[in-house]
Amino acid sequence: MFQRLLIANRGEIAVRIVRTCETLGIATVAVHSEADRNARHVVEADAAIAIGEAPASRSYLSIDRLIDAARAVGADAVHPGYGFLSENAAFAAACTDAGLTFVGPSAEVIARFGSKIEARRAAREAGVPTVPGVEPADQSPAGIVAAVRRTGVPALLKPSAGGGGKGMRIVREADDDAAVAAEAAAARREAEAAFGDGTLYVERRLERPRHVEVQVAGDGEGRVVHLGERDCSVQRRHQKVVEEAPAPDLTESTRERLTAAAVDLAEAARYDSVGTVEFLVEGAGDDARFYFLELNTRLQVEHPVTELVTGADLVAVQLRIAAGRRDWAPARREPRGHAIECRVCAEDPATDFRPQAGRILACREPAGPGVRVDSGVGPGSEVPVHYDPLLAKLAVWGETRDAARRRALSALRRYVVLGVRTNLSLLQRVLEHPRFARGAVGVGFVDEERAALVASGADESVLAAVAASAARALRQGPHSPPPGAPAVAAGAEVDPWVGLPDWRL
Amino acid sequence: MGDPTTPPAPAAATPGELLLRGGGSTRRVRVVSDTVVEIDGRRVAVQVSPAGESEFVVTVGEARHAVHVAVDGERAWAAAAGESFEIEPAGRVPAHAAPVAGPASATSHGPASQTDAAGAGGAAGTRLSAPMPATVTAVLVGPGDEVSAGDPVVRLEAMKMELVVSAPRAGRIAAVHCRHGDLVQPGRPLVALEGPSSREPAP
Repeated sequence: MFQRLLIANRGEIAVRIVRTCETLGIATVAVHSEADRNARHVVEADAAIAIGEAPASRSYLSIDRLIDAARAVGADAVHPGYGFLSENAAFAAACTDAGLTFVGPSAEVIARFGSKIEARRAAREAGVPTVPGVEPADQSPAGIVAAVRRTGVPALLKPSAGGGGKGMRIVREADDDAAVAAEAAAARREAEAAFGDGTLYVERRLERPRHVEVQVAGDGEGRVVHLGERDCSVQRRHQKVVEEAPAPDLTESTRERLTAAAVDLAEAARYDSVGTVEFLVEGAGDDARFYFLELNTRLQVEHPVTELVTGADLVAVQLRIAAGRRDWAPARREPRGHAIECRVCAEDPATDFRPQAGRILACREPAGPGVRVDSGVGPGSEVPVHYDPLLAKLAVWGETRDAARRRALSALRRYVVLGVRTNLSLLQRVLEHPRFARGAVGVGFVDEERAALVASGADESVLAAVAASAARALRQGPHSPPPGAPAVAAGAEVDPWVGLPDWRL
Repeated sequence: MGDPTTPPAPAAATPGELLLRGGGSTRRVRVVSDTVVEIDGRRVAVQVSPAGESEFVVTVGEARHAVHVAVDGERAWAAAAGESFEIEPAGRVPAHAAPVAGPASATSHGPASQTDAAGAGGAAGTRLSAPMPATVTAVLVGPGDEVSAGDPVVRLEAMKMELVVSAPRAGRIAAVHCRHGDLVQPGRPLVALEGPSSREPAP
C-alpha cells in the first residue's frame, strides 16, 4: 500500500479521502491555493503544500504545480478526487511519467471515456443502447444546426469533453438557426472555459427520464464487479442535488439488465478502477428502456449512498486497485436498506440557484443514527468565488426508503449554516414533496415543482422567534456574550427560563 | 434613515422593524418589546432565553424554537426550524449596495442574464453592476458605444457558470469600469450607461 498520498483536490472530497487514509495508515498531503490557506481540508490532512493562486487554472488545475508538489513532499501516489483534473488523461499520464501512482484508471481509459463521443461508440460496440443523437464531424454553427435538425427537438447540446452539466444547453426550436447557433456558441464557450475543449454533440432530450447509474469497479485484468445502482434524478441546472440507493421503483428484471449492461461495458473497456456508468431510464416496470449516457472514470460525488447500503469504502477500493492488490473487491455488494444523499450548496434557489460566496459565520452539522456528513467547511470558512459551491453532503441510511427520508429531513432541520445563502431549505421541500415521497421522480422534477420547492417553510411562530432573537443579538453586537447567559457550552441542554431575570428592556 | 455607520448603543431600544429574508421572500416584523413582536398587524408574545453564545431558545405559544444567530455588522443571519434568514433593520440602505431587497431583477432560465441597474437613473445614467462575486471574462462594449435594450455588455464567470450582464435599456456607454480578468464583488459598477432617458430603467 502507499506511504504518502497527495490529494489533488479541495473541499469535502479532500477531507473524505483523508478519512479513508487514516484507517489504512497512509499519510496524506493536502494542496491548497491562496484562497484556501485556512480551509478545512488543509487542517485535516497530515501535511499541506501551497500550489498557487486562487484561480483554479493557476492551482488545482495546474498539472505542473501538482506534480512538483507531489515530488517535493515525497508522495508515492496522487488521488485526484472528482472535478478538477480527475478525468484529465494528461494528468494521469504526467503522474505515471513522474513515477507516481495515479489513483484512477489508466490515461488511455480516461481519454477514451473523457470524449463523450468516443464513449458513445464504445457503448454501442459493447451492445449497450445510447441516447439517440448525432456526433457532428462538422463543428461549425451550420454543422450544429444540421445535427439538431437530424436529432429533432427538444435536443441537448453537450460538450464532448463535458461532465457535471457544464456547457449543456437545451434547444427547443429547430427552425430558428440563429438561436441554435447562439446556444451552440454559448455552450462552446462554457465548454472551452471548463474543459479546454469546445467540441459539441447533440442528443435527443428524452421525455421525463430518470437518471440511474451503476457503480462499477474493475482491476484491468477483466475482473469487474458492480455495487448496485443509484437514482440521481433530482437535479437543478443539470446537476444532481439529491441521490439515493437503491433506485426506487425499478423491477428486478430492469435492475438486472441495467447492471449487466454496465458490467459489459466496463469489461469491454478493461476498466481498471472505480467508475460509474450513467443511464437515462424511460418508462416503468419490466418494459422500462434505458440508454447509456456516460462512463465517469472517477469517484462520484454521490458515492456515499452506495457506501451506506453496501458497507464498502469506495476510496479504499480505489486505493487497493491502484496499489495492485488482489483483494480489492468489497466482500459485500448487495444493498441493505436505503440511503439518501443531499448536496448542501452555497447557492440561492430563489434566484435560479445562483452560486453564493462569502464567509461562514456559524455552522452546525447534524449527527445521529444513520447520519453521515462529509463536509469541507466549518465556522469561519471562506466560500471562495473560484470553485464549486458544494459545501458538504448529508448522507443518511434507513431500513426503508421512507425511514431514510424521514431521517434526512430531521437532520436537515438541525443543519445550520449562517453567512452564505444555502439550499438547505429547498432540500427539505424536496424530501417532503409528495412526488418525492412516492419515489421515482424524473429529471424535470425540480423545474416542474420549482415554486413549491423554493418556498420557505417558516410559519408565523418561527418568524416571531427569529425576529425576537435577532433583535437581541443585534443589540448585543457580534462578539459580546449574551448578558445573563449561564456559563454552558454551546449545544448543552439549557433551561429555557434561566437568564430571563437579568434581561432588561 | 438611521446613520448606517454608527451601531446603536447597547442600551438603545429594540431595533424596531426588521426585514427577514428567507426562501426568496422578505417579511417585515416589528419588534415591539423584548416579549412582543408584531407580524402583519398581529401581536405575538415571545419568551427569549439565551442558550450559549449564539443560540436562543424562544417560546412562542405552544411552540419552542432553537434559534441560531450570527451578527455581521448591522445585519444578522439566523436559522430556526430548518429555515435560514438574513435580517436587517428596515428602512436602512445597506452600505454595500448588495441586492438585498427581493430577488433583484433576476431572470430565470437560459443564459442567466443579470442586470442590476443601480444609480440615479434617468438622464444621469445607469450603472450596471456585478450581481455576485465573479470574474470578468469579456467586456463586450467600449466607451461611446450605442447599445439597445438586452444587448450583452459584460460576460462574467462565477463558479464555472457564465453570467451575461445586459443593457436594461437603450443608451450610450459612458464609461467602462472593469477589465477582462478582473475579480469583481457584488455591487461593483461594471459599466455606466447614459443617454436616452425616454425609457425607464429596468425595475
